[in-house]
Amino acid sequence: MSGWTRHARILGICWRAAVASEVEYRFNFISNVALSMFWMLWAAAGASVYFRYTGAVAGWTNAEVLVVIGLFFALNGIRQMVLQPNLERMTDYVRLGTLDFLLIKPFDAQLLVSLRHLNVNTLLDPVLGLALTTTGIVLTGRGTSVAALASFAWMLACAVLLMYALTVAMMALAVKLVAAEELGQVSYAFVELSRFPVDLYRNPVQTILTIVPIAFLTTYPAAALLGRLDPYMLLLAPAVAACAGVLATLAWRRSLRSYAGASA
Amino acid sequence: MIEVRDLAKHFRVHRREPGLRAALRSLVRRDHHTARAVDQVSFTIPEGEVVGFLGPNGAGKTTTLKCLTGLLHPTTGTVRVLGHTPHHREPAFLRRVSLVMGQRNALFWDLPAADAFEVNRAIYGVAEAPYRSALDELVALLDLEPLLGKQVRVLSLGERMRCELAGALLHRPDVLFLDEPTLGLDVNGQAAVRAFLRDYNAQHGATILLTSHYMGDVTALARRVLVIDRGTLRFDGDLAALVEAHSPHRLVRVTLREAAPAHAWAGLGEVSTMDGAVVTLVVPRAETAAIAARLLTTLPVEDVAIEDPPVEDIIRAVFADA
Repeated sequence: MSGWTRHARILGICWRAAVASEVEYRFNFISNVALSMFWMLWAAAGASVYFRYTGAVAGWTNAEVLVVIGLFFALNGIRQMVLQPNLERMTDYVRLGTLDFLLIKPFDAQLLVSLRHLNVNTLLDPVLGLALTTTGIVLTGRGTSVAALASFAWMLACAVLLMYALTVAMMALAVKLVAAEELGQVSYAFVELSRFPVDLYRNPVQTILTIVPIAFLTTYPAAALLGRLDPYMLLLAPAVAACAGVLATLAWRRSLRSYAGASA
Repeated sequence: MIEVRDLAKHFRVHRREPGLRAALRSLVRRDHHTARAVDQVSFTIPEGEVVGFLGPNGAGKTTTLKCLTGLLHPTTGTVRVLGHTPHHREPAFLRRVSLVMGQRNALFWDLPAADAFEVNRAIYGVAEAPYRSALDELVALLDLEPLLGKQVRVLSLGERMRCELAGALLHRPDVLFLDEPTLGLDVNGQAAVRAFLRDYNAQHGATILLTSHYMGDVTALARRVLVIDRGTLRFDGDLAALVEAHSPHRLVRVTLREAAPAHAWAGLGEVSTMDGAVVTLVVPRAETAAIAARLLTTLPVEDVAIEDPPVEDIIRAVFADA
């Protein structure tokens, strides 16, 4: 069995178990879907206030901003579904010494620690977010193209990798600080900054959000879908995501060097 | 197999006085000191040997074990296990070792035991046939059949420990590190785990390094012991030699046909306990045989037994000497 197949098989077993145990609580799932829809519609309604007396803000129309807001909810849904439940458990892993057993297995510890658990209740959030994005595209009246869709998929994949890298960096920090609860809030705050197109912010905030690089999470994927992305971004985005991924992995490995365990 | 040379592991520890003022001060200025958890420890363990690792709490046993499994990076010194440097965490090394820690969960907590074993099979890349053979053997030896369908988190401590052992051995490790494997188990549970480990060592020739607060674990499984205290190795050798070196006395337990007066024991050693006709004497090790012979000729002896003092007492003596 190749490395990737083995990794996928092991994560598959873990995720199946997560689905099996969480679908027992149907009310949680339904209430989460209802809440997600509420917050998404509330965000869309809130954004429409800015466009009551003007057609566009910083070059973005109301429909185009909806594309970004939808993407924000989709990405945040992925974060809540896959990344957050694992980041939240880091404190326990370190405090109770469970991390020892994850590290001693002949398996990529970073993958196991960061992707093992799944919050099934937020399974529909990415779908709801993409539904709002699609609504935004329809409301622009311009539609989209196959090339734009392909660019969008590419940019979205880079955004997901970037968000993953951020979470791994937080996990590395949790190994050192033995406190991941607050770090979960920090990771949410980063993603929250991508709720609106970065062009809406004044400088130097706009420049900072481009460098940090929050703009790669929603603004550039939305621009790709709207067919107005600078083509060089198709190369820059994977480079940025790969750099973030490598830096996060290095931070993770470095944190393990100083790992002291639960009862050393 | 296992080679440890001048191993040291130091931790930088935050130190603060009690009280609110000290807590607030520590927000801006922190005092640290270096804790020497393990210092200049050296030993080798050949293939197939079972070694007991003894020491009081905080002596450095677990830290050493974690350096041997690669969980901790040594501050200085070298560690080689199966020809590998453990903290490099090479898959070829990790596939050949296993770590069991009492009252800690290595198996995935939220899965039924059978699924948790299946995860381990996938992680260790064990082929179907050897996995089936190992699982069948472990299920029979540890009586796991009724537990396979239950989630690990709902098992009792003893049941979970048996499952943990099975999970740790499914890939047939060559080296097994056991940290307090019988902690919290009742007498039957302890006996079952000891018997199983003895069989596993005999059948598969696995090297086992065992730490335990229960001397019964060590005396049942290991002939050789390492004694560590405050991070330093105090003794490395046969358990029998340890007993001889640190206990100049033996216990002679005498049962008489009828109770004898106190003056009858004069010159026969120190009377430790006297319960009617049953008397325990503490005698110099070198004079044990002579005193036993005198007892048989001077008193109406029904039974006589010669024992070493409990190993716990001897270990206490080792630490007291240190």
